[in-house]
Amino acid sequence: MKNKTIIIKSIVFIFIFICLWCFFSYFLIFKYNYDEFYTKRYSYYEKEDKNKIDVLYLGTSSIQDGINPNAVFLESGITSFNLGAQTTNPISIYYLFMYAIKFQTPKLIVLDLSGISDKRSPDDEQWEVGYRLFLDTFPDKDLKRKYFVDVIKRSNYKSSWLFPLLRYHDRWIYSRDNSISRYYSGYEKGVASYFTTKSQSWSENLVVNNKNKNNPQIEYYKRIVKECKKRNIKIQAVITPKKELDINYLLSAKQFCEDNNIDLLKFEKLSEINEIGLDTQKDFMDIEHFNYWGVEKFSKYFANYIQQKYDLIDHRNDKNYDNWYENAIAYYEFIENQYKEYNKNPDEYIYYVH
Amino acid sequence: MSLFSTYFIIFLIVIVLFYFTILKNRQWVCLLIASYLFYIFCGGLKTLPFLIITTISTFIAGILLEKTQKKYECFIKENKDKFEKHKLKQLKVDNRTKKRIILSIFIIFNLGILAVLKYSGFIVEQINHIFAHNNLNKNIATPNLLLPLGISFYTFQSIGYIIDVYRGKIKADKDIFKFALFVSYFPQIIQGPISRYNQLANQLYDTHQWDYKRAKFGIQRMLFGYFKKLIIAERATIIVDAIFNNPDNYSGFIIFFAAFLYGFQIYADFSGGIDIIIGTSEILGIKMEENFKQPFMAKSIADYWQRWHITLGTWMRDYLFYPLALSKKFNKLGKKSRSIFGNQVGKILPAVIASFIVFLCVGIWHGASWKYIFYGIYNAFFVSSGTLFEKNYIKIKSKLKITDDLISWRIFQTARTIFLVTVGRYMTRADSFNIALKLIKNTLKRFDPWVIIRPSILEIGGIGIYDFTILFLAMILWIIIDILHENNIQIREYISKQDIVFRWTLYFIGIFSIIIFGKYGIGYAARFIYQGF
Repeated sequence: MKNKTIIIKSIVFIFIFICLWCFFSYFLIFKYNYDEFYTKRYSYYEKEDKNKIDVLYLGTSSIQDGINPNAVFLESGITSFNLGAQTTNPISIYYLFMYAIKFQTPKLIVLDLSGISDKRSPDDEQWEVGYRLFLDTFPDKDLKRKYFVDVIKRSNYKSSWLFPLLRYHDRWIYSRDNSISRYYSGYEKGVASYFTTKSQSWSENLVVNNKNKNNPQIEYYKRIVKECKKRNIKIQAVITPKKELDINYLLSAKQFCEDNNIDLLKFEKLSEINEIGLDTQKDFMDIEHFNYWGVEKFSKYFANYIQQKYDLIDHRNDKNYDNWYENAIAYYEFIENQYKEYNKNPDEYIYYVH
Repeated sequence: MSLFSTYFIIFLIVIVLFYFTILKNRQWVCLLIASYLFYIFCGGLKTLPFLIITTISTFIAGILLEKTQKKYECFIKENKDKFEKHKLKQLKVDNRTKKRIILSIFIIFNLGILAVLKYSGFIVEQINHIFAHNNLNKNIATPNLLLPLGISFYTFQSIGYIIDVYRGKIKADKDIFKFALFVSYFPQIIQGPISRYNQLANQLYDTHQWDYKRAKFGIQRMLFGYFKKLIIAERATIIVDAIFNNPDNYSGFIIFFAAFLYGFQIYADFSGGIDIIIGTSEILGIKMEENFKQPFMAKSIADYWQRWHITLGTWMRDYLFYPLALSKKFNKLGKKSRSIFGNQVGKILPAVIASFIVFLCVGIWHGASWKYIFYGIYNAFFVSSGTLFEKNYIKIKSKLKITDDLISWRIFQTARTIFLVTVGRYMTRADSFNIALKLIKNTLKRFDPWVIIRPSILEIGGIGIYDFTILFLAMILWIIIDILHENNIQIREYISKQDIVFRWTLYFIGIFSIIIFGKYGIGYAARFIYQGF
């Protein structure tokens, strides 16, 4: 009888504990759902006409802030979508790719290799946000589960992933308002653009030795290559222009591309950047990301680059792709309005908020 | 795996399940496997051989000592009538000498391992300083040796065992596997308490039934440990580190405040860990020695050391102080000093010198650095002078009509002790003795007490008003609990008598306070301060 009482009490205690756990989790766990840039971007991607996207951009913020599919279409008639993401990691890139090909059969994947040499561990505070952001916003439940398992395997704080309250417990002093919230109009086709300009002088030789540890994380990039080979999808690797391109990262990228017979577009000299029409005084918002004007210029250059290399179809005269024109027009009207808002008060401009 | 990781909780649940079910008839085997697994997970496989070497060597020492004694006793029993008195006395002396040789060899061997691993770097550094000072163009490479987890603790525990066998206080353990459990018992291996064989061994080898109340009390004790470590110690460290790492940015009062807070930090850290260890053992039915007794309620430095790290203090008392103070040499010294300094001083001088040596060893035990040596000397000075001038002290108190039951006197004693302990903390927290001296100098030169009312104090180390408030409230709660314990009020017993709603509300407040306000996870270090000793 006494043992029965103890067992019943224990069950009730555990039940109350779970209820309280859920209660506190609701208030304390920092959800990235509020960042509609990601959640809406996915839903707009899924709404795209099936098998009409020829090129997908995957990678880090360098590509997310690097190529505007609207500009690419207007320049070359190539249809594309940008699924690059900030603070992302190789695991996220791979699962984004697997998600993306459920809806489209692209002819070409543009793979940003900026992060190929970073460990980007889920236990590193700098990169952890990328893992959590992906988990909180990714719409595909099946792939999300596999991603979750892969992340847990690599983390030394497994319990903080299984029970997020253990990670966010000390966030009780912050409000629940998401400080990383960016608006998504629906016309962007995935690109993020910024009006800020950081005027800077770059050296001629952009390759530096920052003595960063070389930790090539190529396992997931290899998986992408394997899946692309299966589906007869070509791959174009890219490292967008950066003020400082670490030599270890560059060598890892070159080695990966050589091993997998992939073309790598990279910029090791300032003159190469100037040749394609970019101005480091006007077209960058920091040392490795374009601003709006830089995106437009680079997108036009890149459109011609892949058009010549891969002989992709020019859909500009195809009536079935009229909506792409309409979208591009709507996008540039939207940008024009946003730019007027920005000029009124640049400090309070909240269209793109970090 | 640290004591406050979820891995440890899972590990403990699994051990408890095996302990009380599948292996309930072989509980000591379960503990032995758990202890070695825990050691490997926490300390790594590379350091395991050191634990095994100490275990085997002290086991052999115990057997040899007992065999030597038994051989002598049998011989005497058989041949007592055949020998004259002086021959019997000689045989007794020979037996004691043999045992002493065995004891010395094994103590030197095990202390030697500790000394080499812990102090060789320090010794080499000093030799290199001497070479540099004498302009000799020589430099010995500083060895970078692995320090096995808990080596100070298990070495002392093992040496205590062989000394007790030598003294005939206990019988030598004949089962090496059971003995291995005594040396490696997992909850205490990280930072003690340093247990005695006659107190711990039988408990480890006995079978224990599951007891709900005992398990509940054990969990409550563990929760209290987590509260102290994760809410108080980890929060205090933010402020303490910010000030001690950049002392030039702060006024003298703030540096003193940091030293004071460091005293609480290290108390919360160490005693929190001990609570987790004792609570874990309580669940398993094993009662461990208490290691703390409200040290901040101490009336003097001597009293403080009877309340702080009690098991180290009693170990030093039983295995160093008494053998020294009661030895023939110190006896002779006492007689000589009586003739020089008079009866009063001469009588207690051996004890004073022995006390000095003990505290020097306590200082050295803490670490291989001059600051710890001076810390030992600092404490030795106050303890020794307290003993030396006790009679004068009593006379002065009597003249000033001060009695021990006066509350004002009690408050003064406590405040004085806390002040002296805080000054000592300058040495243990600073990176070196020279820096400690510089900090003390800065404290005196730039003493500005009004800084305590300025809002900027809440921003030290980036802590902020919320964390500062949590720290303050947690410390107040802890002080109240310590006062209740000092007055022999058993809080766990008191709570267990209350109704279920009250008890469960308290439990959930406690558990979720730790989960929400605790400092753990990514970005926080996963170590106890005393784990480094």
